[in-house]
Amino acid sequence: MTDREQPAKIRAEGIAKTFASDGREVVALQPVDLAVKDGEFVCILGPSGCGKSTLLRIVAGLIAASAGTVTMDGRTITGPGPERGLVFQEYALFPWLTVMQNIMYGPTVRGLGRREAEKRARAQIARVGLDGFEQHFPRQLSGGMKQRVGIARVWANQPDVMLMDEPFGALDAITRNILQRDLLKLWLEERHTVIFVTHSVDEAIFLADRVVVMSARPGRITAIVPVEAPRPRDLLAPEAIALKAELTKLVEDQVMGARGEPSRLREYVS
Amino acid sequence: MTVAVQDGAPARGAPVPARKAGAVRRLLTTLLVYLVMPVGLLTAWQVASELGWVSAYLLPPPSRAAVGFWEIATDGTLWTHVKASLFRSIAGFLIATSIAVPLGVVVGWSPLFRKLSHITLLLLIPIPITAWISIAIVWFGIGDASAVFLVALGAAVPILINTVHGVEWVEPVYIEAARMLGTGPRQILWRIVLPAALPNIFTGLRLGLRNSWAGLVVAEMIGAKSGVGYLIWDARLMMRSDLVIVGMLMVGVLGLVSDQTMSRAGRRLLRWHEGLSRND
Repeated sequence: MTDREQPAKIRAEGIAKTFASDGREVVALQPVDLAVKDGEFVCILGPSGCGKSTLLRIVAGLIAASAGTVTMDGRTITGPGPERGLVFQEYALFPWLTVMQNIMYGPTVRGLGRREAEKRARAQIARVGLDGFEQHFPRQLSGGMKQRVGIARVWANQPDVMLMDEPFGALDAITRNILQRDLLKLWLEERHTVIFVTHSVDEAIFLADRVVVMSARPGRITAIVPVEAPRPRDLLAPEAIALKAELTKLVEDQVMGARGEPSRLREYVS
Repeated sequence: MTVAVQDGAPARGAPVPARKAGAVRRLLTTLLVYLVMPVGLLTAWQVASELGWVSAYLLPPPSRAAVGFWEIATDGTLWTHVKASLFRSIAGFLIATSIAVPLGVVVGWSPLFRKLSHITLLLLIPIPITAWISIAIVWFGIGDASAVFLVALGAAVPILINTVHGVEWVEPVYIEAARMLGTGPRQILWRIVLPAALPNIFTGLRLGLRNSWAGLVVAEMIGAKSGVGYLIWDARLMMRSDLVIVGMLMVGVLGLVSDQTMSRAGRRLLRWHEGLSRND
């Protein structure tokens, strides 16, 4: 597939990143091309250290690429902006603000006025199911609730694209499943573009329209696998299990491949 | 009848009086534990004095200190000295805060200022407050100004160090989150860095306040004609070791009250902060 010809919401072209570490150059990301369509839910799947979070942060505008460009609606991304909301694995809620104030934060700093900020925050609190916790501080919340705030905080800014960096990675399996289901339900209501980084094959299959598989050291895209089953998906269905086997093999092969064994992955690149 | 459970207490014919009695007993026991040491020490001290184990001049018994306390408390001397000390302490602490916090923010926030001030601060910080007394008297003469200066200096050092630290080590992820949500570069300082550094700044304020008493007492001993430090110094010259003890305990009381006040204010201000310990 050549991503180049499709209309795209987010388009990354030749994005690469090299870090300087102890005077040596470490290649975190080899040149990567990726196009994400408007309203698409893309999961970036890969082992730790494959540069998937780096790629996401470049799209967020929080770090600059060493080479290449990322565009949104054709305009080059040069820095962070509220039209691209990022949900962090470590939540990154402001601990000195209440749940309500955290969610109001975006609209407030953007000068939308207190009334509008409150209106948006209340709506998002209801959406993510945090009624009654408006005046709690983050330290009083469980991990799952913190991430609900993290998601609501981004949505209060009404972003065009939501970037999620292993948002459920720190949660226990049960909470994780509940949040995946809730996220999917809410996403289906609005169908905004989502780029979701994960190292869980199940999570990618459950959520994504397409799964972008990345390999480690140096990070690069090795396969893009569409998931066509209708939602909500049953991860125990035979097709899902087959897909899981395929994706798991892709990810594991890379980990082996990174140890110097020849990679057999090229053939998967569509 | 439905069984309503409120605040974890059973509503059905609960043995409330027994519970209350238990709570009172627990409170008394706790109080007793806290009082064992001070009361024991005072008693041992009194007894040692009565039996003539220590000379009454070297260590006057608590009873004599109490008489001395009563003497200067009733003739107004004590209050005059305490008032003078309190004024210097509060003035010096406010001056220290209003200079050291902004300065610490600048130094912590700007790598350039950090480098510019690095050597100067490394050199100045180890000079103990007592070493400043001579220059303070040269600059400000005998009186309030010298004492206020030393209090401010004593408080400023911990405030500065902790503010710099707090601002420098703000979790980068908060700044990333703030930028991502649309915060402009100028707002980052006010909206993110200052609140995130507040627990550290507050630790600095508290340590600074504790530190400032040393500056106050030394300044009043040598560079002033009033205040609790002067009371201690003057009592020694008058061979009134009972009043020396009274003066020292007054410093203890002032320190304790001010520290507890700070601690309470901090707990209110930082109720969002998880690292806050509950028992100190």
